[in-house]
Amino acid sequence: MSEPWATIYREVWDDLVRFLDRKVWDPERARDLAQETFVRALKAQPMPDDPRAWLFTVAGNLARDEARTAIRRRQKLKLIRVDAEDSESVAGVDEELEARERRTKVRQALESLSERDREALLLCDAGLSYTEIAEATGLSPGAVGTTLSRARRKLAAAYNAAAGDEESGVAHR
Amino acid sequence: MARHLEACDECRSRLEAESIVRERARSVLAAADSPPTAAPPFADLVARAVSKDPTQEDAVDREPTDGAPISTRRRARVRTSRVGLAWAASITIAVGAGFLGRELVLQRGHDLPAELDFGRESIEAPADAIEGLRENAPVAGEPVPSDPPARQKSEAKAIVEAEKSMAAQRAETRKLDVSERVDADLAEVAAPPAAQRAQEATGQVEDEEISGRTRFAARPPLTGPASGHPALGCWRVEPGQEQTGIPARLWLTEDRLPDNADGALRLETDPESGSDATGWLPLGADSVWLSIPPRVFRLASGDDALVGLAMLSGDEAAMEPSEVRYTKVECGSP
Repeated sequence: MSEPWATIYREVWDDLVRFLDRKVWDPERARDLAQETFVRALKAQPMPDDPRAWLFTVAGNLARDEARTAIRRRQKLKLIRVDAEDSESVAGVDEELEARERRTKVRQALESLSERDREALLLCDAGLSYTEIAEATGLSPGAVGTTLSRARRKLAAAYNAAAGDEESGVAHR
Repeated sequence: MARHLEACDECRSRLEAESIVRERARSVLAAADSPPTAAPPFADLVARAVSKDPTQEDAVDREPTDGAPISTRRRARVRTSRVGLAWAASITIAVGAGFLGRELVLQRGHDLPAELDFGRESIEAPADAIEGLRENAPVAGEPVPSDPPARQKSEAKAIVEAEKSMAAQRAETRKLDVSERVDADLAEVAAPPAAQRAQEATGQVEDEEISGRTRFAARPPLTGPASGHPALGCWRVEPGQEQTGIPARLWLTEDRLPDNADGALRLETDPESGSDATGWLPLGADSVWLSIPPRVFRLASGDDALVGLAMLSGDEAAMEPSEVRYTKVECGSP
């Protein structure tokens, strides 16, 4: 039973972790949720018709459950994280800050999208076909292209706006 | 499609624009990528899938230390139930401690130290209750009953009965209205019994204390200049300083009566004659008596001003409470 999943695991792992990371915005949690997704897949009986679509659907549901407790956990860990960051070495701090700012902007841009647009865009970025996206999101296959086009434009515009605000903020300062 | 695109400039330009947007979106999303990490061995996931409890399939969480998934909802349920049990345990402990403490007090026969025995010295237990306790008490030389719990129970019962009886007595005492008691006092003052008249004639009059309130007791007529206790001085009563709107002290607010409409206090220095006077008030050993019919007040030592309300207008409808302050001066001063 696990043979087909082993292959899918190797193919999908990175995409699934990235997909989950853009939902929970925590790499470690994304890895945990990806593992949990595969654990559930291994127990799924019978084997889903479209394993990739099934995996991303389950992963999306897990991420949604995760989001319910994320705020509480973030509040609790905030102080611990600050302490840990304080102890980090100075080297690499700039790069770390830049990467974090980029992630923040992307996150803001993604959150400005509707739930359906965001889901379709992330699934497409994870490598799913239009058919798989349609199956995972419940959209009709014909609507996937339109949805993706709209989502991409909105995402680019939102990201540009965030970057513009940042630059104008810097200019004002 | 490829042939159409070669022929149609508009579609080709739209496709190119869409490609640019797609690349832009991809680069935006890539900006949020975290560093790639190696996938855990697939065998670990298989082992977890085999060993995992099927009841824990709702939502997942993970303890940061052991890496084993734990059901978030199940953990929340356990935490909630523990909190509820903590409350229940606290209440149970508090009730149990109170019960045990009460038992200890009862077993020790109310032998609390005086500082903890609030107000008990002023309450006397009924005779029948005390008698009941005495009957239950062991006689000297008599062996202690072999059933201590039963004896303690009977003692506790007797004590509870005694406390109930005392509480009933206190409640009965409270039923007496204060004003009724004052009126009774005044009636007594207006018509003192023959024995009291005899005492007044000889000057052997003492204050009486009734339920914590000092009752007016007649004093011998004043003769000569004002005099009082050398340590307490005298009170010069000078009504007239009106300060409208200032509340009077509680123990003199009862004198807002038409009798004081002229602004003067009727000072009953001699109950026999009932003479009204505005002038000196003699101080006794610890107090001065002030009669403002139908009320009697006592000005205790230590006060530096006597403040009362007087109705300065004769028209009842136009009466306004005004404060009249009486100041303390040295004895003999004009």
